[in-house]
Amino acid sequence: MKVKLKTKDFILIGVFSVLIYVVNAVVGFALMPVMATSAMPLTSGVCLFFSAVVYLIMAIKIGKKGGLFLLSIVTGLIYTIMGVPLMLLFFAAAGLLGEAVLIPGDGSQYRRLSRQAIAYAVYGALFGVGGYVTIYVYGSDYLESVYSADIRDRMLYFAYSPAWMTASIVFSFGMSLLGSLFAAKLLNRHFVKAGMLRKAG
Amino acid sequence: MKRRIGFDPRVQLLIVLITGLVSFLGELHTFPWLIGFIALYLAVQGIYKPTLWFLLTAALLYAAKEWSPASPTGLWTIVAFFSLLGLRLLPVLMAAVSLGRVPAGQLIVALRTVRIPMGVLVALAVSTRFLPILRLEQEAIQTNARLRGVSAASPRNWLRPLRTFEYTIVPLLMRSLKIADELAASAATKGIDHPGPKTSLYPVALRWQDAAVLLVYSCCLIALFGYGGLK
Repeated sequence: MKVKLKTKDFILIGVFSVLIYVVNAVVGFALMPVMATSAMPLTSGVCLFFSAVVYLIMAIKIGKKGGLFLLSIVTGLIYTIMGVPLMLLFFAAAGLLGEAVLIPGDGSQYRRLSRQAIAYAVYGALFGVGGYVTIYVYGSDYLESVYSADIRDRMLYFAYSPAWMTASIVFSFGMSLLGSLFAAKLLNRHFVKAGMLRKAG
Repeated sequence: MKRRIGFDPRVQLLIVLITGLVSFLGELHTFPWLIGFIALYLAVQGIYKPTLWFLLTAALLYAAKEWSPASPTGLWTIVAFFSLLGLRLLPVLMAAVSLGRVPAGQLIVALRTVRIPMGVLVALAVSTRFLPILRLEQEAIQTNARLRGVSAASPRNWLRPLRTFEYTIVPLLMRSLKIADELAASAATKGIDHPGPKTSLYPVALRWQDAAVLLVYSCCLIALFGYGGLK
């Protein structure tokens, strides 16, 4: 059965995409002094660990096709407003890939925690390298007046290191799944008990 | 009563997008002009207090940038990083303040004319309005958390990050779910799901001030970029 997103779903996506953005930004900024020069590509994985709970609640509450894609579009639009329109295309691609993971099934898969967790992990794996895509496309020039010299050098080193980029993708994927495990506990402990969400599989 | 100039939401969105691009691609030495123009743009709309705060923040960020050593180490690395990033984001944030004050209904009715899909439009309109609400909710939650000794602002609780995160995010998510439900009910009451043609109290038309602000902004940017303001 084909179930389309309704207005209430669009509103929920609007609210939760801001929450996901804020959680990622707060965790990212908090980690910046610790990880900026030592392991910057791994920062996104930690962010995704914490934002997984927000995504899973949104996804289970909506339980329809297109939620992750629209979330990625809104996130991309936020980055577009901040001056990086390239991110809209990149996030759209990440969202489509995440949605592709959710396609096989009879429709109940959109309310299953395990499937949504894998979809978010796939989206997250790409999300992790998002910051470096701008370096590949715009070159290193744009970094010059955004970052100080040592951070700029480290960013370029990370961006062109296959080992670090692979580590970023794998770490983001793993941390998203781990975050989803933590999220499943929170969901059952608080939201299902409070009757705000139906028990998800 | 003071007369304030109001701009069409489409023009306001365009100014945010252009400012975002300029912030990303422009040279930092042109930013005082950019910030000055956006401050003027906000002032003519009667947005005084936030404009003053933004100007003060810009002055502080410039001071931090100037005081940072050329090759920063230790704490100066963080100061240099945040001052540069802050200066990059400040013009966009300033431009977004004006757009953030447009009522959601007016924003939707104006952007519907540029054929943005309804789903994206509703989600985007809600997300632009939700940020200030989120801040208020977070403040209320943290006030309660402080009384119970589980505030995320207390360094003592940073030693238990997962528990502190749980105590912060769970009430925030519960409130967000309620707010989303209330917004959906409010939108349904106003007939957002009605498939027929919609009417609105807000007139959608480009006026002389919209053309004027775009013309002045374009001239400013051309002049700035003409003097090597673009990377």
